[in-house]
Formats: sequence, C-alpha cells, structure tokens
Amino acid sequence: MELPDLENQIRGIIARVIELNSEEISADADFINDLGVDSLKAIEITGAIEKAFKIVVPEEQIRNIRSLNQAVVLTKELLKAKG
Amino acid sequence: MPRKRVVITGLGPIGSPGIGKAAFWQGILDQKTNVQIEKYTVDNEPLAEFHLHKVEGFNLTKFGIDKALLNEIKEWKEGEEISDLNYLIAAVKLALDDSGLDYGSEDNGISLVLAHENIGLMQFGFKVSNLAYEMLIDKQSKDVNKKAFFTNLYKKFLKSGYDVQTFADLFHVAKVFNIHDYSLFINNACASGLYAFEAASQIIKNNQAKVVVIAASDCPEIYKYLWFKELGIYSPDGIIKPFSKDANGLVFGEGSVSIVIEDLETAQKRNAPIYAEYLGGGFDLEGWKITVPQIGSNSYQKAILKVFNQSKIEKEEIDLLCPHGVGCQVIDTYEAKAITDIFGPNPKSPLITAFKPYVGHNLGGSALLEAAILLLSLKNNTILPTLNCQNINPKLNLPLIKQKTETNLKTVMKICCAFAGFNGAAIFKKLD
Repeated sequence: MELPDLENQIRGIIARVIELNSEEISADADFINDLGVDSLKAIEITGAIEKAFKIVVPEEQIRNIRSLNQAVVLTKELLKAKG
Repeated sequence: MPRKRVVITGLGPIGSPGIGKAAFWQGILDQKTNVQIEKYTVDNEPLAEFHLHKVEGFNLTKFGIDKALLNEIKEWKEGEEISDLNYLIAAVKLALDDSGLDYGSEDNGISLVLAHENIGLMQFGFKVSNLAYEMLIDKQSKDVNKKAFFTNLYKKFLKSGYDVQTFADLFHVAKVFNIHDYSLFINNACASGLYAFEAASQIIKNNQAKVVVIAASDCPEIYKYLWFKELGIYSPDGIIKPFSKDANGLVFGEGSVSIVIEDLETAQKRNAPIYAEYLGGGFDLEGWKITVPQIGSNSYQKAILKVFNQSKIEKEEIDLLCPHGVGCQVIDTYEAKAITDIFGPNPKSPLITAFKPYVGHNLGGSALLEAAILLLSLKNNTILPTLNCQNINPKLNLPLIKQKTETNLKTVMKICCAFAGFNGAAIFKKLD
C-alpha cells in the first residue's frame, strides 16, 4: 500500500473514532493536546487500526501513538514485519 | 435427575479489616482500611516504597494446625515463611471451622480449588537474582561459562523451582486438611476467584465431591508494584477511588479468603449454616491485550448476560452489584460502560458498591475476597458504602452507594474484568 493511501485510511479511522472530520486531523497534531483525545479513545484507535490492517500493535506501543504520523509509521513498520 | 444446587456454608476471610468472619466484618463496618507504607530494600539500599492495605496480628501458629505439617512446608520453602501460602492455610482453616465440617479423617470427601495469580513468583525471582549476582561476583576474575552457570543454577533450584509450580501449593494446602478428592489450581488473573467458584460448583454438580473448599490469595510484591507503577495504575496517594474523576490507580491489599461450598442436600442434612446459593457464573475471554481492556468491545457485557442465562435470573432481580472498581480511569470507564449497557445509565437498580477501598486489591484473590464481603452483606442485610468516592465521574453514569444502609437483600452479583480480558460474573441468592 502506498504511503498516501495508508495515511488517508488511518486518518479516516481516527476521524471516525474521535468523531471529527478527516480534514481536521493534520499529520502532526497531538491527539491529546491538539485533538482532545483521551487515553480511552487512543486505545480505541489502536483497536480499529489493528482490525483494519490485520496487525498486532505491541501493548507498550499503545501509549506512543500520539499523532497520525506516529500511527502511520508504526502501522507501516508492522505491515513490513508481517511481510 | 434434578441438577444439584450449590450453597455456601463457610467463610474464612483475612484482610486489612481483620482476621476471621466476625473481626473482618466488624473491621469493614468500622472502615478499618489499615493503609500503611511498605518499604523494600536490597542489601540495605532502598528500592521502592508503596502504600498497601496491611493485615495486622497474623500468626499461623495460632490457628491450631499440625506443626509437623507446617514444618514440612517450611522445608520445601527452604526455611522461608511464605505469606500468601500461610494466609491460604489459615483462611481454609477459618472457613472449614465456620462451616462446622469435620475434616479430620482421610476420607472426608472434600475437594480443594485454589486460586492465585502470582504464586511463588517473587521468592523465585529474588532467589534467581541473588544467585546470579553471587555467581557473577565469584566469576569476576575468571571466564563466565554459560554451561557451568546453568548447571549450578539447576542444582540450587531443585526445591525452589516448585515455588512457581502451582501444583506444589495445592499439595501443601490439601495435605494440611486431609483433602484427597478432585482438586484444582486456577489462574485467570484478577478474575481467578470467580473462575474458581464456577469450577468448584461444577465439581459438586458433576458428583466429583459433595464439599469443595475454595481458597484464594495474593500477596503484594515489589515486582508487581514496579510493573504497575510503570503502567501508571498504582495510586501514588494510596487511596483507591473507584469510578472517580480523581481516580489515580489501585493499592495492593494483603490477605486471603476461603469459602466452603456444598450441595444443598448435604448441607441441609447436617444443619449447616447456609449463607446463600451460588446460582451460577458467566464468563467471556476478550483476549485482546494483557494489560489493556479493549475499549469498544462487548466482552464484559457478554459475561454479565451469560450469568443471567446460567442463573435463570432477570437483571431486575439483582439487589446489589459489586464491580471490580479498581480505581484506574481506563478500567473504570470500560467497566462502567458494561454495567450501564446492561442496566441503563444511572440505574436505580441494582444498587452498586465497590469494596476495594476497604481491603485493597488482592489481585488473584480479589474477586473471591469481595464475593465473601458480598455474602456477609447478604447475611447481615447491609449495604456498605463505597469509600473515597466523593468525586464520582459524572460521565460514567454510575451511581455508587455513599451511606451504609440496612435493607433486606436477596440476590447479589459480583463482576470482575481482569488482565488479559478474563471477564466474569457470579450471582448469589439467599435461600427461600
């Protein structure tokens, strides 16, 4: 999957979970400080990304997903590792 | 042939409020939480300190247990006194005495189900750490040979390897009480007590035994504290505040509990005291992550719905509900969502109250310990307030009991959402 597609797909997932329009979610916006996402929504985002891409996010990484960019990088890494 | 009915005939709680049914219940009523600071040192160097609900005045030698049997255990434990095993033995003694059962003979027909989440983990971990350190110091001037290291380790751990083999403690406790019938060790994290209850009831329903002693314990350890602190779920101020805006984590609670169950017919024949009937359990394994519940899943709801089905009880019949109430924001929210999905937002019924602020979090023993408090509440027709809940999070739509109330209770429910997604529910009802 090309990076822009991946980014757009994850942006859509995040938008759905936190109930914002996709265009309101910039790549670097911090979930907590900029988008008002709480730890519960962050967990829900992780679950939704896992389901969409059939990947397993390590538990210790859940807290590190704080922006669209970070989610994209991690998803890319996990897809690559999956082969 | 009608299915056997399972009733509770003996309780043996040990916790920060007190030791034994009467003292424990009085301590609960007096809100004796006994939170103290536990300090850990390694070679006189401070490692960590944390709050903990402490048991006071415990001495296993005062329980009238055969000293030769206790010495045998001590030998296996290489001279160490193992708190959680000692608590387990004492709790079983208290529960059996409370039930009035005679367990003196070798064919007493009693089964045993033990529950624990971390048995032997810390003592084994410390032993490995100490030995590895000593060997490395000894080898400083020589080459460290991996094979020699392993061989030495193996020889030193011939006995203590059994610290982490769950059957060994099942053996020790069973031997103290002449228990020879079908017996099990259960570990489903914090929900172990509810899984143990269900397993024990199946033993009776399947005619493997007429009486089963269930016992659970978990002794707070430094390893668990350090891990929970890192996860951000250990309360820095030592106050568990379930479902609160200012909830900042759990606090460990020392202790143990044992519950005797038997089939109704046997209990009635011997005029046993009957606390309640165990109507059934409902369970669901979410299976997403070990330390994080899956927000948005309905696994916990499924467990609760399954218990209604198993128990042939309508949700409107539940008078009192005791949740896990751990005082961690994420888990509280997950739990409140499940409860309000089933009973509606801000339900008037059932009444809801959480017990961890009284006894702390006894980890693998917590669900059974809190079930015992629920059974004592049922017996005494008393609804206990949830302590430390002045600032309930309004977003959770979950009312908690704030004042002690005396009222006729008939049906009560314990629920628990544990690490790894072991979700469970159990219903108890007074006999008509």
